[in-house]
Amino acid sequence: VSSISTDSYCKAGIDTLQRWLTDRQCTPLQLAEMALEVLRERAIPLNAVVNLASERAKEESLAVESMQGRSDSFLGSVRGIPYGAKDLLATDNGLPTTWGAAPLRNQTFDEDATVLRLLQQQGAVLTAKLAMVELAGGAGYRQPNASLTGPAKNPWNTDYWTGGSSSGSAAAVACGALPFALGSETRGSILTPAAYCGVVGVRPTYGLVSRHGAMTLSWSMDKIGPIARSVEDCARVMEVIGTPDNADPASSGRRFHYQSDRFQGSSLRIGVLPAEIQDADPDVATAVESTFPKLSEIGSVKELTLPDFPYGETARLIIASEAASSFEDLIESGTIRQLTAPESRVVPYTYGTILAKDYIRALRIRSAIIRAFNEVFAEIDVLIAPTTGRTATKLNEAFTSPEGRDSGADLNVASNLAGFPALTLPIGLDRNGLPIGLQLVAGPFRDEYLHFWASRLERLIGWDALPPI
Amino acid sequence: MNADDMSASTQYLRNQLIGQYGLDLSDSEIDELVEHLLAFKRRAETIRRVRIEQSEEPALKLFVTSPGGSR
Repeated sequence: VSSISTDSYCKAGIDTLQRWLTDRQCTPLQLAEMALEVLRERAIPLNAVVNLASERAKEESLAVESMQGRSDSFLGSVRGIPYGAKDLLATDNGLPTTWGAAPLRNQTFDEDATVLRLLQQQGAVLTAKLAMVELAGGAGYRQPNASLTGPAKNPWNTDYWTGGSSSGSAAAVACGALPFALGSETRGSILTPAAYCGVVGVRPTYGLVSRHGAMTLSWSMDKIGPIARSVEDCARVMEVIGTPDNADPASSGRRFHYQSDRFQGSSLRIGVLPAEIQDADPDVATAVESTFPKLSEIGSVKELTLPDFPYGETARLIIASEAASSFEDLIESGTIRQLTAPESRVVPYTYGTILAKDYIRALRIRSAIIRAFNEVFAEIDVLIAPTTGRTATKLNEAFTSPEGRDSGADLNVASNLAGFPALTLPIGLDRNGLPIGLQLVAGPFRDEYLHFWASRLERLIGWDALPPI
Repeated sequence: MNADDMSASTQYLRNQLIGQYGLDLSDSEIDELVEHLLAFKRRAETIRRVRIEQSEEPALKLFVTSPGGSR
């Protein structure tokens, strides 16, 4: 019987869990059972879980235990570490993959998504398929109750939403049920819930992590990445999933290889975006500005303005055009009429009205955006802005008009369009006790560099509060 | 778009949806649909105002160095 308390487990990062396993303070199976227990007690009441993977967790942890004799050390790996996956990542052997959508609650696949296979090969233990906004928000939701599992509740205050669409991934990590989870992002779906829930979220460079086996929303914009409670833990997961995959036609052939001492002694040129800070709520702006002295400790800081493009409009036209095709069967068959959010039952019918010439124009504008971003990143190494201009919205609060969601958080939308990597760090709380995130964006395939400097900044800021659960 | 045009467009849309999908939407659903249709129309108008070079190619698959990645 493990002597580790639930409270200790919920606070532990991957390094601590590895030490417990290596010192035989617990076994992988005991760790998986603890994760399942906390998922039941904390994450399910938050509407953060679609299905527990109890049987699979047992099989995978026992498989790790049977390998233990070959190498007693668990250090430097994800072996024996429990985790969860956003429920748009396919799992084999009958465990459903619902895409967060009520009409797909019994959908199954014959193979694991590549990222799950890679994690399994390295001994990580899948314990849960995690809640998400239905179809990753691809059906045009306008309020938090747009999921098979209901609106996901924020661990910091259950009257507030987690953000989406990787809602359960952020909530399960923030509440201590899991040390890491996988999410996906097309236009803010990792960074937003990670920021709202006070955890670290990573959106890798487009093409660095395979999407094979993941639900497609937008071929040219979908990315998969980790959510954890520290930058180092995200890097640990990226080491496993950031690898070439012939099964994903967009795979870049690049590999994420993190050596935290590789960038020691390198310089850092930071660009901050005053316009995005001014547009943010006062508490968010104050928290972001309070990091400036820390930024000055690690690099030179320069004020910048984003190149002038209609980022929100361009992104929405690309995503909706591609969703008209990726969700064509769901639209034509009327399956979308069974979605949870009333608006999502009709919005996808509008996607087919976008003209081909407008979609292509949006893609051509994206080329110009990438070029403009490359020019920006010739002068600086990392761009910094609030992850979101506002903290979490209330559970019962509708969003603004469709256009309202085009504006704001331009850096997030712009860098998603460009395919550049981004990371959100928690930096404090607003007056309602809700987390505030700082967004860092780097040039394409500078993911290791981004992690290195984010980790330095994380240590300097020193914010490691946990939700009051 | 004035009120008469809007009403005519809405009726046209309703008939199209019945014809194409067999969908008879409620008034509130039609309102939602129209709002989103107009939003996409405005987005398209916005991006048409962006000046781009005639030779500018669409960015579809970003950063792909070889088909299917490294083999």
